[in-house]
Amino acid sequence: MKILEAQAATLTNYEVYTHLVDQRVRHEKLDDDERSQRSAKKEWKHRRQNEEGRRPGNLNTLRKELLEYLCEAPSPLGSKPFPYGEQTIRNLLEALRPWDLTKGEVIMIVNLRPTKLENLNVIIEQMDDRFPEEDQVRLLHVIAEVLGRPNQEAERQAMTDNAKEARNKVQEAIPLEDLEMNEAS
Amino acid sequence: MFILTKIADLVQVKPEDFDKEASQAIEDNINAKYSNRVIQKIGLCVCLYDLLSASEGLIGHGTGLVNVNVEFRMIVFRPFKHEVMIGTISSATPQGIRIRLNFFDQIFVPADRLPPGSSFNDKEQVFTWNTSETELYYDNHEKVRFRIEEEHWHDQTPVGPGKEADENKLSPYTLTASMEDSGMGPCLWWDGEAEEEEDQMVM
Repeated sequence: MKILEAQAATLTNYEVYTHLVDQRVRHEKLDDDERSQRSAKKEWKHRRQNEEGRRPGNLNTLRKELLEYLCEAPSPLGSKPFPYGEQTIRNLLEALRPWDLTKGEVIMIVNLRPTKLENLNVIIEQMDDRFPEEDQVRLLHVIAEVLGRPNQEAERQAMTDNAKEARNKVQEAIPLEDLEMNEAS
Repeated sequence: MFILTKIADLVQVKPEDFDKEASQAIEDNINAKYSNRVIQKIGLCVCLYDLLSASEGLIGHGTGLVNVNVEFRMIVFRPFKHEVMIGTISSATPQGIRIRLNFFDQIFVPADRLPPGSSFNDKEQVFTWNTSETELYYDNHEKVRFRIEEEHWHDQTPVGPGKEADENKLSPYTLTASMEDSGMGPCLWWDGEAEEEEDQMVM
């Protein structure tokens, strides 16, 4: 193995997401084809491999977890209808031209889709020194226009539900924790 | 959060994979080798992005393996310094808060990188942030915003005999993050309305 270029390009979450989804569709189709071919030929020696696909398992694990992460609220990729398209990033770059933003800041805007000044302040370094307040508000408007506005009610609900669900899971798994708490009290 | 890395490598296709398309066999081979693994100073490899070039397949003596020299680009998880990301609190100790992403759980926020006024609540085993008005909880499983500050690499290559092996094996790639600035910390604090915040406190 030889690294030719450590960082050839940076990708946004959206690009990774579409790549993974396309890959999953392609692999599933391939697996199906292979399976049906084999069962048509009745090749007994491949019976073991028939059960599972022939794509590497470590990739499947990571892809599943990564897609879960990318789609979880409050990520914009998890909101419905799907807010981004092929032209979205180009449109955003065009719309953000008046502001002098770094590449990292633009990537974070695409990944996080800030809707409030507090969120924007986190992403853009020294925002108050660089842009006057009306500019900041205008920037938010531009972002909302190009990337869409999240359904905040649904997003918050999803976040609360996910947290609750995870907590319940933990409690079911470790009743020991309850015991300790009882002892302590 | 993700980068592309250009890599050159030798791929060995096994005879049992000869019925696959050549490109597919190479892709599977590369993914099996790299996916979900950390390369030192590069990051956590996700999967093949595209194949740039591949040589003729050559069969060596003694094995039926087809050897192909390939150049490809890999999607790699490597957040840049000061990148803001979203993750989930997995646990807290007096030293700090552990954060996990679904696929990566080596992110740590030390206690001194939390906003001033934060303290560890021994009874609940969580951190709290005491503002002048209220007390806010860094509950487990809460979605949080954080900023990447440092990355640490721990080479796990085995050491030769005679040399002292490190007793506690550290994860090959860990990240240190901060949640000091306003806007950081649980997303619900900042995105939610006032009543939502109160809701959180009751829980």
